[in-house]
Amino acid sequence: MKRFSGTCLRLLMAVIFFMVLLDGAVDAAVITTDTVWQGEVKVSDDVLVPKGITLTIRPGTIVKVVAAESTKTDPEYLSPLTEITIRGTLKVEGTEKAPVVFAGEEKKTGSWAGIIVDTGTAAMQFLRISSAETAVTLLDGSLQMKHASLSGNRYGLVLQGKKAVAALENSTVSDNDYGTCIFQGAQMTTKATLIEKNRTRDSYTASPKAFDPGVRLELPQEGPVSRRYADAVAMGETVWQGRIEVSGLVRVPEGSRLIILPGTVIEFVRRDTNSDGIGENGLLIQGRLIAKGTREKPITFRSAEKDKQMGDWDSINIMNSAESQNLIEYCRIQDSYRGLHFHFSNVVLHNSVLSNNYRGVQFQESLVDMKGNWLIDNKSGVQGRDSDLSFTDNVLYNNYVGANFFRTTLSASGNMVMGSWREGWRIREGVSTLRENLIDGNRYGLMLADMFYGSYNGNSFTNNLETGLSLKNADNVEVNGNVMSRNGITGLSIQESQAMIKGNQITDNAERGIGVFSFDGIITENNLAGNGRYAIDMDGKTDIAAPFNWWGGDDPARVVLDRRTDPNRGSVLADNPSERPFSFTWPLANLPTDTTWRGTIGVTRNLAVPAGAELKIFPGTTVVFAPATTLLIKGRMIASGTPADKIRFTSRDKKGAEDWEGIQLEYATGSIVSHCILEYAAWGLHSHFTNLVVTDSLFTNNTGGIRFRSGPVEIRRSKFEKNSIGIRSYLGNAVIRENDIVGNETGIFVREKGGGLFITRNNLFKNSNYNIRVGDFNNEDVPARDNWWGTTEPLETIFDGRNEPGIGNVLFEPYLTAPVATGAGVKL
Amino acid sequence: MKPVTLCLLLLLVLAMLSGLSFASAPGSLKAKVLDVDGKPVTGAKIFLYEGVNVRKPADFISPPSDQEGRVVVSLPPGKYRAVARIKQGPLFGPLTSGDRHSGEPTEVEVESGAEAGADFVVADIREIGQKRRSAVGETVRLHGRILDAAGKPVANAYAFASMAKEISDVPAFMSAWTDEDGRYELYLPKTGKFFLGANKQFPLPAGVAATVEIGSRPGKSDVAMDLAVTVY
Repeated sequence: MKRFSGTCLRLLMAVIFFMVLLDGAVDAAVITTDTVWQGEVKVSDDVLVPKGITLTIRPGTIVKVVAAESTKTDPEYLSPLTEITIRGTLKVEGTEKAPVVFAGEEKKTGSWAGIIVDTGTAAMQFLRISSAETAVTLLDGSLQMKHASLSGNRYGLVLQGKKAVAALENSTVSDNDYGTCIFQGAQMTTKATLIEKNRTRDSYTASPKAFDPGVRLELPQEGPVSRRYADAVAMGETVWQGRIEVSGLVRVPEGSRLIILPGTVIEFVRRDTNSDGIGENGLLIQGRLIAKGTREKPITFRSAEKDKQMGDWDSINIMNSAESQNLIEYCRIQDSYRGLHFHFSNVVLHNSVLSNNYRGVQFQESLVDMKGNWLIDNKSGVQGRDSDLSFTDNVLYNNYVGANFFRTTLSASGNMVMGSWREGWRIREGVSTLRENLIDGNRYGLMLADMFYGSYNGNSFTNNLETGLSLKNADNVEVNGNVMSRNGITGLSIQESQAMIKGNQITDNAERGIGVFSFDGIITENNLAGNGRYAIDMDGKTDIAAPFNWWGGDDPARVVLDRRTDPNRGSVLADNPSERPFSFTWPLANLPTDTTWRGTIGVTRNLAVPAGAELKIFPGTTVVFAPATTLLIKGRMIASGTPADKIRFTSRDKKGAEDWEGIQLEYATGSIVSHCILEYAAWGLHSHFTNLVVTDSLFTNNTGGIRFRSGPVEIRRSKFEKNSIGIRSYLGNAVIRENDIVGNETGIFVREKGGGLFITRNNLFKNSNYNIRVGDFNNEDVPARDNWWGTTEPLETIFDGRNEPGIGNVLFEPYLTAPVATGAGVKL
Repeated sequence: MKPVTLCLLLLLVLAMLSGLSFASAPGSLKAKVLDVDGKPVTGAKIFLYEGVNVRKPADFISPPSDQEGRVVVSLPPGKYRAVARIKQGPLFGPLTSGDRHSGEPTEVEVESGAEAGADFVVADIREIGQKRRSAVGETVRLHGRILDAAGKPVANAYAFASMAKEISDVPAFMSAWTDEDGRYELYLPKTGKFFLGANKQFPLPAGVAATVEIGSRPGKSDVAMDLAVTVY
């Protein structure tokens, strides 16, 4: 009996051992125990190796991955293609004689996602990976690769995140579209490794600028747990307040309501019975949920664990609740699998923060209103399908994928989608209208596919690491009045689409303004300038119509890559090129990221450049302000023209002073205004606490040329004429040197504390009231030596303490007897 | 080979080459084009494509639809993908503002000598956007602004509705907090009487009463109503 039991036990153990030693098809999604692959392994569904689990692949293993693009991606997965995702450990133990091979069953580039090491660890040797979208993606994890060959993929190796560290040894990355891409501060070391002969680029490194999403929601008040729930049914009206602990599933049946008062904290204990790394506790609302927090007293849903992890709890699920709105307002939802998840429901999500979730929001067949939310640091910000969605003024930042909508009627405006590690925004099918959204600093900005309607007007696609806007298989789409600028490779990518591409500002993209594979439509009245290699790169075979665009002053033949250079390409028919830029009305109210202006920019409302952002204005640019508009700079403005190509700030109406308000600088240190013309403003420049340099510029026909407080300010070689006041100083610290200040009513007005000024070697004359006037509140002498006053009696042109005792004197002696060759005299 | 036989053979070959066949009489497509409200559309054309790619000039284009929205086009037998379009501008090229389109192509099979039928609904993207907020289920959407006694919009307030005139601290139906524009949106059942109000406090303080009463709203899905009520 004993012997028999022992044999049974050994047999049982052998069975268990061989159960996890796979040789065959892999269908299971999540690997929950340490597993070994060997022989021929067919992967027909996503594979996930969670934290704490090791997948070992023995020498000679051939892994064939079945292509299966799905419109449904569960939150724990990262690609619509079949993927092998490692959050635990991957060991690939190939040998020289028996390498491990990963390939798509279809042998077509991009047929499967590739190996994604997501905060996990991978040690791989003697392997080959082909036909993937990206052979190996490393997201904040660790990768050691020896004797590897990555070829025949779209991307060979993509590393992302400051914590991503990769070491390659004796490996090759070749014959891919892109070899290696390193983003967001990832690190790679190589030894005896070749990265070469990749079709588009061998290597590419980029990082978006850091961005403060500006969350405005108070933190929760901590207090003792007031109620505890295991699995429970909340009948009737249930009111929660204080601190609630949930260690099961709380269900609110049909006809019942769960009302959560402001300031309530709901914590979910982690329960993971199937060891898939995903918590199971949560809420199921079949009645209605009223979670009506306030900004001062938000409601918090979070993990109860001390060491909170993404996926510690399941979700707030809302099912079949369409009678009236479920309200989720001023809430924090964090550490979950799917923060808010609903079907067939009417849901309002306003002013809430969803962070550190696998997916912030997921919905289908619902009526949805999302406004003013922050979706930050999730794997996926929001994903929805087959719904009606109003999506306004949300901030999506630092998610792996920001937003993903399928077959949805979508109206989206005023959103900021930034810093996504993959797509900022994906929209497929459905009807969508996007207006005045900022899509910036993502790897890919906005990807539109399979659209039969679409209106994308007045958006900004900027600073994305690869592509700003991509149209694929889109029909009847209008793309008007957008900014597509400063993207890492391409501003606009078009494939198999029919569209009107009109009136866009497509400038300063690192390689191409527009990349075209196939297009039936019209590209017209766009400003295409300053793109690194080509304004339009025609990759397809059929001709495209691109009449009447502005090509940045270039001959289109020089900035277009088409049949003229390569007979295998189609032609870009660039008839009637415009000699001047088309006036482009700036579409957004804020410029929160680095922005470039070229051509003619129309400002029709107040614009602001916040702290941390830079506005760079190119020589020859004209900025035209509508009445009563202001440009407020709290970041930095670099407006450096040239003697031949000045930058002009002017008014639309050109009637006279105060047509527009002016440029205001507040703590805008490092700002430069050089070779500029400022006219028709109330104040051309109005500066506070800004380290500002103004040179070689003309201020004319303003109420005031420059007014400043504090500084230091440097004003040189500039001309002030026909203003009421040329320069006004208040508690100023400035050098005013070698300027022509002539023909104003008052040349320089010193309101208060003029002792910090150094006014010298200027031509100050023919100002109808005074060349320098000291104000009533000034009590310091004003140094103004060695200027030319246009007279031998300068005192007659000065109003100071000699006229009104106690207000300080202008120290004008010695004075020059001939004008200075200032180098100003800028002509209109 | 006998000359007659040769001639017949030659005729057959010529017929095959020219695509003629005794069994290949043209068929036709009879279509009706409507707008999103179900009304017939005049002047729409059906564009037919023989292949999968509809983003190129069409292989066949019908005459414009008549006042009943009807159109008939003769076609060689075969399978087509069809879309309906009504364009103000040039025949080809992308749609512009005001143009309408039927969306995803419809597959149509035309048989020799037979008439196939298909209906199309054309829409402007703006019409679809306006229809977006249609009520879910049997509800009516009430929307407008919350105004104070001086008629100014009130921010950080919410509209509520109750079936009883005495309002509980958490009314049966509530809108989200308003923004600076004072705008609210409230979904209510289509039938029944409701008492409406607005407040800045949640839960409501004791003694709050509704000040507006609305009755049943059959046939309506969307009601605009500013709530000019005193905010407590």
